[in-house]
This record gives sequence, C-alpha cells and structure tokens, in this order.
Amino acid sequence: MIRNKTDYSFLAFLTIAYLVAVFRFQSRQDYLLIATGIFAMSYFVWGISHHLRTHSFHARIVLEYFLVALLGVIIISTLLI
Amino acid sequence: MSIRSQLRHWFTPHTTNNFRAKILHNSSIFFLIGLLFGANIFLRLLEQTPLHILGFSSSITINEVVTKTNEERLKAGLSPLNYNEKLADAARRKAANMLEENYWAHSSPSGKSPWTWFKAAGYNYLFAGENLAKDFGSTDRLISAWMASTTHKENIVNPKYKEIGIAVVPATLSGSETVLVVQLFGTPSNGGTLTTAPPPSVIPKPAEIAKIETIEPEPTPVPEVILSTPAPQEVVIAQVTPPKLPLNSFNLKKILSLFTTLLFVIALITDLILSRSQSLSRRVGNNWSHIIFINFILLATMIVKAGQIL
Repeated sequence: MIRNKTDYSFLAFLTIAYLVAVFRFQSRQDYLLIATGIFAMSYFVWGISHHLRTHSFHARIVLEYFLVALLGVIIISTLLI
Repeated sequence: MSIRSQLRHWFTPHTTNNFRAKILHNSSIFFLIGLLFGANIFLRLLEQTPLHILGFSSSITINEVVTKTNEERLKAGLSPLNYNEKLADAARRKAANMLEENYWAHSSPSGKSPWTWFKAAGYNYLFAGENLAKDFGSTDRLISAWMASTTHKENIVNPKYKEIGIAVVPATLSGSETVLVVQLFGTPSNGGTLTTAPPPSVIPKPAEIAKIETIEPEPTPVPEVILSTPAPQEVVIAQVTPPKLPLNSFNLKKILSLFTTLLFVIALITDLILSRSQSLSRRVGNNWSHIIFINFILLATMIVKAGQIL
C-alpha cells in the first residue's frame, strides 16, 4: 500500500508534465532547458515538502535533493549546450 | 580492497559506507556533477582542436529538403513550391553572414534582418519567410522538427508562398562543427500568376520566431519580369553532405549522460532493495522519488536528439 498518496500523486503530475514538455520541445533546446530547470526545481521543493510532512526532515536531506536535482539539470544541459 | 568489496562499498549499504551506497552520498553526487562538467569541457576543447577528432556528419541535401517540404504542402492540400535560384542565393548569403558574424539568429548582431538577403539576391517579394536549423543529421528529422513547431509549420504550409530556396552549409559555428540549413520562402512581387496586392489580413508579427514579412507591391510594373521555375531536380545542386567523421560530440555526450544516469539508478535500486531487506533505518532522501526523477531524466536523455531550429 502506498503511503503519502498526495505527495506521490503530485510527483506523478510533475513527471508527466515534464515528459509532455520534452516531447513537445524536442528541437527547441532553450525550452527544453527551461522545462528541465523547472522540473528539477519542483523536485527539490517536492523533496523538502515530502520530508517535512513525513517528519524526516534534515539539512543533509535538503542537500541531497538539491544535488540530485542539479545532477538531472547537468545531465540534460550537457547534451543541450 | 578487492573489486568485489569496492562494488559493495559503492553500490550497496554496508558498514564501510555508513549503510548507504557510497555513490549516493552527497560527496559522490557532487563528484559526478563535477565529472560531467569536466567531460563536457574536455569534449568542447576536443571539438575545437585542429585535429578534427570529433565532428558532425549529416545526410541533408537541398533536393531532399525541397521534396519533403513539398510533400508536407501536398498533405495539407497546397500546391508545391518552385525552387528559385535567387532565393537559394539569398539563403546562401544568409548562411555566409551567420558564419562571418558568428551568430545563430534571424537577425545579425549588426542588425541585418533576413529580408536583407532577399534584396541582396535581387528577389523582390510580396511575401517572404525564413526557417533556420542546425545540427540535424537527416532531412526527415529536420522536417519533423519544423513541422512540430507551430511557427515553422506556418511557413511550410503557408498558401501564400510560391517559391523556395535552400542553403545547406557544413560549417564551424561558435567553435562547433555543424550543418546550417537556411530555408527561405517567397512569393515574387512580379510573378505573372500572382495578385498585385497582398491581402490585408497578412500583417507581420514581429514577436514570432519564424518570421513572415509583407511589403507593399511596386506601384509600377517592373520592366523585367523574373519568372520562377526550374523544378528542384533541374537545379544544379551543390554537394552538401560533409565527409563522415569517426566520432560525434553529441553522441559521446549522450553516452556519458546515459552511463552516469544508469549508474545512479542501479545504485538507487540496489540500495533500496537491500535497505528494505535488512530493515535499515536511515535519515536519507527517498530512494523511490530519486528513482522516478532520475528515470525521467534518463528518458529525456534518450528522447533528446541533435538539432536546433529557429
């Protein structure tokens, strides 16, 4: 059974929106970068909010979400820039 | 440490890594980011060396671009465009200017608009439009990208255009090898089959990326009427396919990105399974959400293809 359904539903919405943007802007690199940036930033905020709600918040976790989001942006921007 | 214990240290929760796969530690993620940055800079430097170890290859030809553009017009129930050498000359001038002034845009840094090149080539127009592209490997991908963009599609399936001119130029732009494609559309102001005045509904929209410009027709008839015309296959077309090069910078970057992402996903899944089976209690990020996030980045990495349109 999935706990925190609201959190995961929001994460699913974010990922679907990102996927739609990727298909829509395949050849518009500037738009793709913006979409990836927004997705990464949203994921970072989602991570903090999720851990605050589950009472497992810690500064190290904030850094972890920041780095994972940054890794995602770097992976895509390496291809696009 | 043996290879086995190294793998255990990097990919599984263990006493040696404080019960969290070492590759998932913040310091390791930071290192991966640095590695990707470093590799990207290295590949860029490699591209710019005179050795030409890395390069760009493309199979795009003028003939194919004209044919496939006309196929799209036929699908939309429109008449095909005639290839016009003056428009092609204007396209070549535009491409040459982009290389000379080193820019990638509709207007040059010195303020030359796309319409400058129509005039320079002696093409007087009622309606004109420009589509630009670079870094595409095939004509199919190029036309698909243009058709997926509303503003570029508007140019391709615009019933007001009668003629087309293409330039496909292998070049080095901003230090990177590429193939520039300039696609110009036009309707001559002195064409025999054309109306003498543009419909009032056609108003230029400066904000649009793919530009369409309308000008007033000449009030007096032009003495020398230039009729467009040779069919695309009758036009002498320059060989534009650059020599095949052994390695492609974009593909190398893609392999690197895919490898990094896969490595991270494998570590996340292994860490998740083992921490569950060992009932480990840790204060770390949510592996499930990291897996979802990184997998979508992986998916995007696979979808993203070389090529830019403007």
